Order: sequence, then C-alpha cells, then structure tokens
Amino acid sequence: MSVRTILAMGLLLATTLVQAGQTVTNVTAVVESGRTRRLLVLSSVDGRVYKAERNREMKAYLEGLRGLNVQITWNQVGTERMITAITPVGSVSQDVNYFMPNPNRDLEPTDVGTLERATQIFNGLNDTNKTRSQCFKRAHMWSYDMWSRLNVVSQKIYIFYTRRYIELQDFDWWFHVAPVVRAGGVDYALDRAFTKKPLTIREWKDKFLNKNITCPTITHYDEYANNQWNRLCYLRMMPMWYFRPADIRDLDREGRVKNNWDLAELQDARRAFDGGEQTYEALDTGARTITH
Amino acid sequence: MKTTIIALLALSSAYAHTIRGTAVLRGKAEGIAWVNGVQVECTVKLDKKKITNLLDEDRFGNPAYQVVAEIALTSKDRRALSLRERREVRFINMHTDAEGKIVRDEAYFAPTDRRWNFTIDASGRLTALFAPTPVGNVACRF
Repeated sequence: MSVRTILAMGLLLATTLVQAGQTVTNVTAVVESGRTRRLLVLSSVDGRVYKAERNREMKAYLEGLRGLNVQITWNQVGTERMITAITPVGSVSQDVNYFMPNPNRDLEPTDVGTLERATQIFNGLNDTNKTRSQCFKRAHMWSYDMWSRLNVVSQKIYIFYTRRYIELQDFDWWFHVAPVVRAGGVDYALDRAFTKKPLTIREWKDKFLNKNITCPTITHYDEYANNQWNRLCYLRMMPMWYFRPADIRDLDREGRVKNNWDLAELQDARRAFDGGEQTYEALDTGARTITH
Repeated sequence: MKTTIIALLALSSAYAHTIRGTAVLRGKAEGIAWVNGVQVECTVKLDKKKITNLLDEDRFGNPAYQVVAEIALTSKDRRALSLRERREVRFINMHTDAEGKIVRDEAYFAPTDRRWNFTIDASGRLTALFAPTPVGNVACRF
C-alpha cells in the first residue's frame, strides 16, 4: 500500500471532528511519541505539533519531509491536530520557518488588549516548581507556549544585578528573567513562579529589589558589564527569542541577532517543567540536552 | 545677564551627578591625631559584613553605602588626656543638599550624630576620621 493511499484513507478518528484546516509550514522535526502510537511533526510556522498514526511507511515518508516546506491538511480531534495529508510545496513567499533566522523578520510584540486577557494568559501558563528549574528556561518555554498556542509574540524582561549588589548583599543570582506581554499598551511581566498575577515592570522589579532602588533600563549589555559599582541593577527588555544572557551579550558585542526558535534550546528549556520531556516530546533533537 | 546666570545655575543643578561607587576597603586602619598637644591613636576596623548597600538612592539614582565601623581612640598620655573610647558607629554616604538627597563617593557621616564623619580616597582607603569626644574633637589622619 502506497503512502498516498495511506494518507487518502486518512486516520481513524475516535472522537468528533471539531475543526479542519490547512497549514503551509516547514517540517522542523519528526519524533516518534514514546507515550502514544503517534508520529509527531513539529511545524515551524506555528510551533504546533501535528500528529499521524505511526507505521513504518509513514515514518519514512515524514522523515523525508524534514526541512522541507509542506502543506498539511489536518483535522482537529480534541486538542490534537491529526494529519490527513501532507505534501511538499517547494518554495513559498511567506515566512513559514520560525526555527530559522530571517533577516527581514522583526515581529512587533502582540498587544493582547486588556489586563484581564493578560491574566487569562498568565493563568494558562504551565505551573512550575521553581526549585527545579532556572528562570531563563521557564521564561523561554512560557514565551514559546504563548507563541505556539496563542499566537502571542511576547518579550522578556531581565534584571541584571551588579557585583556591588551581589557581593554586599550576599546575593545568589546575577540575573532574573520573565516573559512580558503587552496589554492596552502596558507591558506586564508574567512570572508565574514568583507572582500570583501579571505585574507591571516596576511592580515586578519591586518584587525582587527594594522599592527605593531604581534599575536603569539599558540598551547595550556593556552598560551593565562596565558599571558594576555605581548601580545595583539594570533592566533590559529583549525579544522573546533570546534564551540566555550570553545571547544578549553576543547581540550587543558581535551583532548576532536572534529572531528564531532554536530546537536545542527548547529541548533544554522544557526541563523547566516537571515531566517536560514527556509533555514536549516533539521538542527533541535526538541529541543529549545541553544543561540541567 | 541675570537671566543667563539663573539659567546656567538651573542647568548645572539639573546636570546628572554620577558616582564612581567606590566601596570602603575592609580591614584595619591605624592613624594618629593630636588633642591639646597629646597624641591620640585612632584605630578603625571595617568588617566586610558591615559594609553594605543602604538600599536607598539619591535624586540622580545613585545608590548609597552604609558602613558600621569599630572605632577605638586612645590617648598616649592618659594623665595629660583621659581618652579611651571604643564604639561601633554607623556611617552613610547619603547627604542632603539644597536640592535633596545626594550620594558622595568620598564622604561619610553618622546619621545619629552628624559630627562623626570620615573620608576615603578614590581607591576606598580611609584618609581621615573626625570624632567629637568629651575631651575634645579628634581629627585622625590615616
């Protein structure tokens, strides 16, 4: 039986169809689920996982599409998007691969409208055990989830603590980061590990530093690196793509712009959440995770 | 002319005052002073754990320090001048001028008695201490 025939037969759907559609995308990864008999196709245009029943022919076919632009025809079954057809489409004019850099990509942060909507988004973020994870991994996964699940382009807010603060206050961190969404023109930090609701940047800063201390907002990493004694802290707003402080340093010193997701970073970041390896099965490079 | 001077004054007072943020060096400093012709030994101990940020800023956003110093002042000739003073004094470098709060890198004073003060150089080394005592003012050089 050919792959085309298999696809034509479609999938055996156990539940009611809710939605159907087509997506033009690029196949970023194809992963065999360890939990179900599904093949997981990570789509680059929306970060979604499209699924197909697992068999040898389908696996070979999908793996052959890795890195190619495709059109996926799908049915939504519950929360899953099941592939009914997937075919290569050659080059496309639209920006479909958010896992690759694009010099022309410069996404404006999404304005979600109201604080109520920002609060809904906040409440929908994965809850996390902050003793297990590091803030930059949580922030990255939350940013990715907001983008892939809600189509929200977010930012990140960093606090950099200076040597003066760290040494004299006997403090353990040198930075902290949380995702930021804009609502009604106001930026809110969504730091679900430390706060109970979205906070303005000032409120969020006050959570981590004495209210009397102002942290200047910087636009170059060296404003922090070169001024370790005449300030206690600095703030830096960054686009959602930047994973680590080293990425900010590399941007400012070497011009290394990031405007795409990096699968290895997401594989690393998913460890922020209990069971992250299972929940985010498709975010797997097949290689070992970089950090713990 | 008057308007120009006022404008220049306003401009200079509005101009940002930026500190270096020099921290006081920790350790022990020993110096001397003379009170009524009698030599006084001054010892100032600055413990690392007692040099901290005040966690307050001046009107330009400069953060201030606070330092708790162990000070010992002893006259060499106890019969001529009876001085044997040991105390811990808290100093800060957050001052007040006509415009409001201002941090000074080199000058500290004790908020509980502003006459107690010390100065440091650009590397954080203690250079002078002024201490009012019952037997007279002690101005130590280090």
